[in-house]
Amino acid sequence: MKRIYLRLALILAAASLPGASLAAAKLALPPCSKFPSGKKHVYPWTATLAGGVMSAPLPSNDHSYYYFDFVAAEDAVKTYASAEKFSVVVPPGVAQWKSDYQLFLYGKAEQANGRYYFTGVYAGGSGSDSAEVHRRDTLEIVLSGEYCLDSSG
Amino acid sequence: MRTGAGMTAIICSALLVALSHPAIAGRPIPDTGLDHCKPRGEHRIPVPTWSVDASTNALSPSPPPPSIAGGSFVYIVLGADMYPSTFDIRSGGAVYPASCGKFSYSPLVSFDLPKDRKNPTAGGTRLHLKALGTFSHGTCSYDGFFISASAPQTAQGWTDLTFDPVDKTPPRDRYCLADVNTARRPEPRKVLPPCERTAHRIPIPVWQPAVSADGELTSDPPHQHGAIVSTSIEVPRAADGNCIGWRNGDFRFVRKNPISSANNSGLAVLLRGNDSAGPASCRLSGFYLNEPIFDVQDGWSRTFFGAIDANRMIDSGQYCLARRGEESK
Repeated sequence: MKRIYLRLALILAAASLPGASLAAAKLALPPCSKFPSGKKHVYPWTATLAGGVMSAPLPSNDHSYYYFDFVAAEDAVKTYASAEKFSVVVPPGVAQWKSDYQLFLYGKAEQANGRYYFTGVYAGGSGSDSAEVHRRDTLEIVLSGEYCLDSSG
Repeated sequence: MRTGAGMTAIICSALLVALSHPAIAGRPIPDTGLDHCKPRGEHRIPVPTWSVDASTNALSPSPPPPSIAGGSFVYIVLGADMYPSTFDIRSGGAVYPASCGKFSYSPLVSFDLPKDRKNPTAGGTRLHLKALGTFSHGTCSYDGFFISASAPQTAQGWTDLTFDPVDKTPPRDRYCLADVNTARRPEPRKVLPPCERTAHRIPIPVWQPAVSADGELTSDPPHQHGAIVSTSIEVPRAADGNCIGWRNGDFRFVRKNPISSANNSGLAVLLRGNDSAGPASCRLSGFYLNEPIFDVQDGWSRTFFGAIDANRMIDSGQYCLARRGEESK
């Protein structure tokens, strides 16, 4: 029962960001084959952060490339003197960690409608108390022929 | 009979005279921050370099401007005489005599580049740059990256070209510098195979709307972040001669919200690049990558399509052309 309430809270938190995902993501990458193809796998990750609630756990640390469709309320995002550096505090409870966890995002983001939109392919990794991801050039990722989209989870 | 040393001295003197006037000699291209394009196998988009001698006593006619598509960059190297001047400065509706670098902002500088210098009434190019010049040895120089600011307009043999300055060097990984005054080498046009003949490829939707006189599109674009679309749009010219929707290198069209009674909300569609201008219309034709714009202003949401290199996309071997009607899956 507790689980159902938690799930409901997450759904409501996501819904409280109207227009959170105005443009559906459809990155023009081929789906990854089950067999080794030599291509780099890009894993989609969709989440919203508002009112201290993260709608989905951070992506697994096992992978290098993620397709982010991440929307965070403006007041949840810390900005820096460098225009292309941001960070958010990921609250405990939605994943394995017990204390606040910081996610640093490098690269351009769009600020609109009281939110920050982090959309695109990010590469990076995470440590025990923070993660750092860098935005890659979408056009380069799409046209290079070196990447595939892995929606297997 | 001249001696070898005498002949050498004459040649050297002639060279020195020529080189002492930078506008006549054609100044070398400074370090632009971009690599020069490779002669073969270049996947980056070439930025044309247009070197213009706008002095009154230029020895050769001005080279024609490169073929410029909206939103594409041009590197301009231009030298013009100050005395007598061959250009004027326009600011706030007033015309000032030529001055070089005396403004705290970039004024509009206009140059007449006749096709035939002996017959200036035969027409040519009128070049308008928003830029600050640099004065040296009687010559005002204008160097830098520019972007076309309005559709070229031709009247009575004169074509008006207007350029805005670009703040930053175009990204090195996506652009390279083409040779001076040479048109982009036409590469053999490759064709995206239809999806019926291929397996396991990503279908690229085809979007071919018409544009009304108000800039309204007849169909919705398939807009999803990171998606590629094949487009062909014929854009008529408006009464002022500009193609409908053209502004600062972009085309902006609208899809009004059919439900809204006020008729003042909907989707604004921005397209950059892959355009060409004809006498009666402009044409947007090619492949575009969709990127989201999340800002909603006064009921209008927006979406952006940036031109991509068709040959590189086709060479990736990942895509096929969807049949019309199958695209929006």
